[in-house]
Amino acid sequence: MPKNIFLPIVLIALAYGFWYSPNFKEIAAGIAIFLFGMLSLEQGFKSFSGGLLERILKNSTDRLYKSIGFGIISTSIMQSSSLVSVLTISFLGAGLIGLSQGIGIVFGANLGTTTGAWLVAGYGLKVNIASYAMPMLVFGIIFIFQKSTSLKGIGYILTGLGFLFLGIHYMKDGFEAFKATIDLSAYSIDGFKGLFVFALIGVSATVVMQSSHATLVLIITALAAGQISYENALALAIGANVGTTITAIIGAMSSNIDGKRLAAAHLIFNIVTALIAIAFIYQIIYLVDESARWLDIANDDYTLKLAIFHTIFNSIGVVVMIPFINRLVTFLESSIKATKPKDGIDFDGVRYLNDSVLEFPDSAMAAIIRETKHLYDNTFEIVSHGLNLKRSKIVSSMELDEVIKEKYSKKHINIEDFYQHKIKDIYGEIIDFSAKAQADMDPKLIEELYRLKLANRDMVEAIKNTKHLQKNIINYSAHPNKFIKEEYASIKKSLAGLLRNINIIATTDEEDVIVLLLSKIRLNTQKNDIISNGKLDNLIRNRLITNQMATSLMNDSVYAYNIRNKLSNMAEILFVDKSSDLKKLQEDMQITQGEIEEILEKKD
Amino acid sequence: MGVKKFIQSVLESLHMESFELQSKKKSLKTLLAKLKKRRVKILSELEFETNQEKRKPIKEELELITFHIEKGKKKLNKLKHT
Repeated sequence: MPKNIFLPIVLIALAYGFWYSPNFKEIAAGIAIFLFGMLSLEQGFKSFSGGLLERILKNSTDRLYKSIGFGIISTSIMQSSSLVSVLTISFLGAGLIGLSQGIGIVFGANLGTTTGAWLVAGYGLKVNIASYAMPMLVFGIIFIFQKSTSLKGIGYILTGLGFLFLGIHYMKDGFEAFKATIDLSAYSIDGFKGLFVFALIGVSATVVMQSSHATLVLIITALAAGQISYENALALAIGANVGTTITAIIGAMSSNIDGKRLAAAHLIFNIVTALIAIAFIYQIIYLVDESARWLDIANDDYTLKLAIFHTIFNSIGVVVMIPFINRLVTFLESSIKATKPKDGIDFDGVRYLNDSVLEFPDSAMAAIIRETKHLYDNTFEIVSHGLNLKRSKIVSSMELDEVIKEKYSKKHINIEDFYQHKIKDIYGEIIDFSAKAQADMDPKLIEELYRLKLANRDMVEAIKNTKHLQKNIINYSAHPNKFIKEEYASIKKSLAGLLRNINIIATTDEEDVIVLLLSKIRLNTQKNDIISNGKLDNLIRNRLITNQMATSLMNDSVYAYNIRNKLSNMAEILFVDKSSDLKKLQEDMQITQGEIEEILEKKD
Repeated sequence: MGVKKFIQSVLESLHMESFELQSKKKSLKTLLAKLKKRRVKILSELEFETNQEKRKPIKEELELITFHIEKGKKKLNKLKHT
């Protein structure tokens, strides 16, 4: 209900404000144009993010100092700490960076955002920037109409900057005119009470506009026009810094657990910084005055002094918080936890998919690959437990004959329950996410995505076949008829071998090993098919097994063949790293069905 | 003319190979070297293994790796002549 009435109230209040004061209209229009410019700028940078930005991010965040540096530089260039924070959350969600790296970027972004204050205070108010805005808008629009994505991106960046400049110009004009009619400085409050009140106003203004930059520009222009006192402007800037975390919090809502932790880290960092700034405000003001003197800035140039203040208090925040990053990570990990299991089997949901990466094709693809690997881990667990095998033994160097003797459980595990808890949701989310991500992908990525979807389907099919196979494989493993017992032991052994080989493929970097094992599992799939290799006929002809056993064995050998086939298809798609040399050669080096038959014929 | 097409035509006129082809050849050569090294390893493993049961899978690996080396060589020759 409050949501429904909020918008009409805001619109009516604005309409009244526009009717009552033309200057207010000009300021509001300035803010609107400025925010529109931010949107355009974001759009422009997103055009370049389909690879380049992601690659840079991946390579420049492996150390804390690099993460902070990346945050500073990227925010200085993009002039939006919110965009950098949301991007960071998306990378975290995709599992491309860790939480501490993400925190480093957010710290850096807080420093990078101070360059905006310098630009506006030092340049935006002293030069008629509206005259630069016009050509930027014209060139920008021409570029936007071009076919090339890069030119379009440049176009959006230019129009974004153009609108930012134009917005600042309108705000400046509005406040100048306001000065003649109303004096807002009459409402200034002194002391700590004033600091808290104006800090809260700064928080609210930024939450509404969702841009600390817009608030900061508003503060600087109001300060330049003498509408607010210097101390109150400082408090507003402190508040704006806290309010800006709202964008990251909104971005994290659709993110995974690490995204939420990062948003919490951002909020904690900005609140701590704000409290330090308020507590030591007079010492910081003294530091600002000294720095201004050193930088040759006039004592009454409050706009530039505000920029210095913004830089100093954010730097203090970073310096104070750096030693506590690891503790902060531990605290966040223990206080913000994933959903607890509801029953015996742990419920496992998606880990890497979050909607904020959808606009970045490469990141979306990386997220899908990681999630598919996560699905593979669960598939491995279900298939091995379904066959009553221990995972730890499969991946060990123990002889396979010994592996199949070690039972996972005395009872049948309920594969359907495992499927419902560990596969169904993740699979559904991957398919849904892929459908959404596909909209922004180029044909090459769409082709790759299609193959990944097939890999996902193969895993689900393998589990379903395991479910069919499970009952007999357990029953016949202890059957008095040694021939049927041997056949089921052989099926179990071949599947254990398959899981072991896939695990090696999944964990090795050795390309020759991958080539060899992929061919080996293909060859074994064919070789172990007892229908085609004549073994079944032999058992029936010599009456070594009953007709009922023969029917079971025939059906189960099809299930086993399907499991082998589906999992080898999946391994070929999922575990050949897309950046490796092998990917380029995969089609040329892959063993074909004809070649397998040729090799098997030679053996016979 | 698009940038890609322009680069392609310049490469063609200078009789330079496409980067894609060059990198594929390089990757194939690297893989072949690794496969050959692996083959030597498997051969020595086979030499020291006396248990007939255990020799069987090693022999199979040897056959597969030999097959891939041959296949890779043929592909490389083909690439050299394109």
